[in-house]
Amino acid sequence: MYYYIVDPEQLTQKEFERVQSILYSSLSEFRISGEVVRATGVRTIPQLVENAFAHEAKTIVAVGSEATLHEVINAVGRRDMVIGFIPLVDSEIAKILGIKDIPQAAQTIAFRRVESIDLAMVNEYLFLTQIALGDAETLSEISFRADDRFQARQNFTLGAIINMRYNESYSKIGDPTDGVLDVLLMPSISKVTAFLKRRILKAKYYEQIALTSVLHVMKMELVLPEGLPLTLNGKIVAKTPATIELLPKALKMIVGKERKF
Amino acid sequence: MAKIQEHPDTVVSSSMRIEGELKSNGNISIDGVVHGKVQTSRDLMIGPNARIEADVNAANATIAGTIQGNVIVKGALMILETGKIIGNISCGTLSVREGAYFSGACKMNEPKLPIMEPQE
Repeated sequence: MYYYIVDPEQLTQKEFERVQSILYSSLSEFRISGEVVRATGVRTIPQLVENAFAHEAKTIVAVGSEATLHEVINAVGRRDMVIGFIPLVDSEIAKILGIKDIPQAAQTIAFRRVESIDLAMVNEYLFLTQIALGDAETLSEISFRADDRFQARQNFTLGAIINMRYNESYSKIGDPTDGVLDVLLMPSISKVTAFLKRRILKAKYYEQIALTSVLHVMKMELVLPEGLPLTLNGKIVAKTPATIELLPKALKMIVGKERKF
Repeated sequence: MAKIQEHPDTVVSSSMRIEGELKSNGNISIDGVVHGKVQTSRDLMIGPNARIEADVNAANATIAGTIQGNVIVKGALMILETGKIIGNISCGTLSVREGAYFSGACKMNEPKLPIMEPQE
């Protein structure tokens, strides 16, 4: 049984009514109707995920934003469950998974192509995409231990720890099936370089900036600088000291034919 | 059989310092400082500013910086003008540019002789 958790958080009531109608007709068209529940302040996503398990659902579909998907993934935790995603707003994850809009996402769910992909975890928080660290203004020394094999130190301004990333052109970085986290640490750059490379910086393709370090690890323990915020989609999910770890093939995700990995 | 995943290139920039074992299935490029061990099944590039105090193991290697340690390369080892190796090397083929420094023993794989057809 499919269990759809709809999170209208980022939509106005009018927008939500419009997408809800498209959603219902798409689910009906592709014959993947199931239980559709709406997350509210009273019925939170973790509570709804528990309901899904209680109803012995085989698939939970997060309908909403990337934040909705992450909340569902965290509520499911390490338990066995296939997860689908129907984006209601623009989403990088949807592009990576080969999903365009609601009807196409519904079709993808109907085809049910399930791929085991890597999940990452910062402290106890599970994430699919990437953790950002640092700000362009502050140069600080980062120190971390990786895979119980080496200790690394570097001065950096911006960095990213990537499990999955949307790449505009071919890149091996951000492949959620490669079994590694890609760590990018960019040193300070001049204002002129920052201006010239503004598109690269905005997309966090730091490896395209000279003097950026690129490492691939399965686990890293970030020690210094203490209290450094680690953010996911602009939201702080942890502060250093923190442990970031890859859980290979830990997520069973419904993916589209046009997926980027 | 499980597919061996080749990782993207590893880059240790000039401002990075690593202590321990740096291991990869992809190419490695080092411009910083590494103390410990460096190992890759692919190509290794040691930049002119790099300082390596480690044993090094790679498929092919180009050295423009300083290595203090033993170097084992299955294929081609190239020491550039600015390159410096203090340690023993073992390689398939060796090329040393004028100005490079090398102090240690060198062992090379003997090339296989072509099989000659018997003449009638």
